[in-house]
Amino acid sequence: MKSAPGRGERQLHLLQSQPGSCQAACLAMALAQRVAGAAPREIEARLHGAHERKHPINTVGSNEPGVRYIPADGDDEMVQRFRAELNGGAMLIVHVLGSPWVARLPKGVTGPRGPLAVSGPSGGGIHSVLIASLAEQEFVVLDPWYSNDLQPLLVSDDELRQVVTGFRAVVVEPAAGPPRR
Amino acid sequence: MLSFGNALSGARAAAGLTVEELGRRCGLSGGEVSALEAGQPTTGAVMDRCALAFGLRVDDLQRGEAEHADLAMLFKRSRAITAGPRRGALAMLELDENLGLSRFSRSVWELYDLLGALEQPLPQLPDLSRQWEARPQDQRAGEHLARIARRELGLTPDGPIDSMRRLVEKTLHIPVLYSGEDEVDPRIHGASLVHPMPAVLVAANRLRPWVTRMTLAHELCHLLFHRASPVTDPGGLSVNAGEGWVLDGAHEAREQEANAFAAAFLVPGYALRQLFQGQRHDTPGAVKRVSQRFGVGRKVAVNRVVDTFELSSARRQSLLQTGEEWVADFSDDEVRPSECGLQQGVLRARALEALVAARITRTRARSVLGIPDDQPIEDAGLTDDLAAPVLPPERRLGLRLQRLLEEQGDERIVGEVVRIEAGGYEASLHDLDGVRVGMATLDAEGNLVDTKHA
Repeated sequence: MKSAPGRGERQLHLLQSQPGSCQAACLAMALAQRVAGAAPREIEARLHGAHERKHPINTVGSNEPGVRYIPADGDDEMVQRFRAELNGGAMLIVHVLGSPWVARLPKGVTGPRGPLAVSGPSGGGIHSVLIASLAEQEFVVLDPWYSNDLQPLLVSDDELRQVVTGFRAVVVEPAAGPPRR
Repeated sequence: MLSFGNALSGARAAAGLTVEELGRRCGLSGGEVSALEAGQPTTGAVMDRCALAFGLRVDDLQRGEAEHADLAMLFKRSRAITAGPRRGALAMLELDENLGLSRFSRSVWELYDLLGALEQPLPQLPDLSRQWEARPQDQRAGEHLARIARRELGLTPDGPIDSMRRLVEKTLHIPVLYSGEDEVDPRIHGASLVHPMPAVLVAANRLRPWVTRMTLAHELCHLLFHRASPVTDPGGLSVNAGEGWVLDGAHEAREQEANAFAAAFLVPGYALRQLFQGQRHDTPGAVKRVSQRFGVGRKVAVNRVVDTFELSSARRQSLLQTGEEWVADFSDDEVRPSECGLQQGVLRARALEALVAARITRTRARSVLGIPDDQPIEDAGLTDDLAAPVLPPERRLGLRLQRLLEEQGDERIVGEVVRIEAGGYEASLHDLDGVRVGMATLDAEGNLVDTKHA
């Protein structure tokens, strides 16, 4: 995993406002690109905890146009599918395993809450990150837990396969009009 | 980049296919193709099959490459010919028939990317089509073309070509893929394409050295002289089909020209006249001498002797039917079994080279070479780390368990899987907020034993 702070995706980054709002923050980053002038922080606040016992991904997936699920089985087909979606201008939210994710972070990546907690009797927790685009052979990823000083992160397809949980990924399709990139 | 639906629609239009015809090549109905073109989400496997129909990878398709892809152009030509009164050469490319050409084309695209990643030169082949104006029924066309080619390629006008493989692969840097059994329709002998770079296919049934030499020479003719032929689109895939195919006039002429070129390129008439100065040239022994000196089979040797010295057709028949058996020794043009396969040979060599140089990832290398995740890459040149299966057993079990839970309608997310001392494995289960809410137990073979809620 490499750091690429010179890339424009850095401007999309949103620091999650509280523990447990990583998915809401990822969704907010992606959805903010669909509406000109939309405030990511407001979107995150609207999504996180807005529906009691209903997770933001389920809420958004069922309510927002242009948001859907695709399999993310950790195989080569997943890599191809992700590339195809990103090439079409979509963004992806994937679940990653905490400890292998943290273990691969470039040195110096930090955030106001310190390292992501990955402890537990049977391994680390689950975290969500946003795949914003493609760079040559790597995925351009934003992690809402950490500040954007050394982001975005460039993640190879091997690394991605090592860290994804295999749980389905969320696709946020681009707004109508020309592709972003 | 185009959306997948737009890319598919554009590619289909470029190839002149109906949704039903494209669907047959992809294992889909026409309605399903229409839905994909309208933007309906689909799996990576379906996208892959659609791209393969045009001999491309999904990325290439979405870059709009199908509009220039040789296979798409071939479909279009095929349509024009099959629609005519006479079923033509390219009628063999029945739209629902898999001849293996799309896999050849895709391998070339893979190779093109690998050469770019390795910063290695692409083949730079002169376009000699302007130096030659084809004349119908020109009996000397092959001789003329061969002379031009030898001159432009810096070869002697009359010497034997020691190794066609070396000339094509090493000197001209044209990648040659040798198909394995069942990879290409046995009716195809060879093929060549020019986009994204010149490349040649030699079919598995053409792997005796003297046959390989002829096939390479035949395809070289297409690449040198037929790239801007008025009978085809600029560029394009050339298919060297076996005997018995009915060819339309234009393509038949082109194929005959390539055959004549190949024979004259390997056995120049001037060299033959030199060889037999003052000696008999119309005997079985003379034919054997030609075959062994120039590395061609009996039939080519006979034809070259008969044509060069203007012998009768009766003499041709008698020379073809008599004489001892022999094998020309041109071992430099032998193809080893390990080189055969559209994902072997030069493609495998460049992929491993790129992997070692960290220009591509292990996942990419495995995809290019068709090696499953759970098998090591067999190559002595790789470190254990690079050759090892891409995912450790615990990660594979975790991913498999996740699929199983989803099939059962279980919304929990599988966390890390760890081996336990008692044998078997344990996996943490999490809710969508990442909170640990349960545990799954797997036996030593990775089969799910039970799941518990916290």
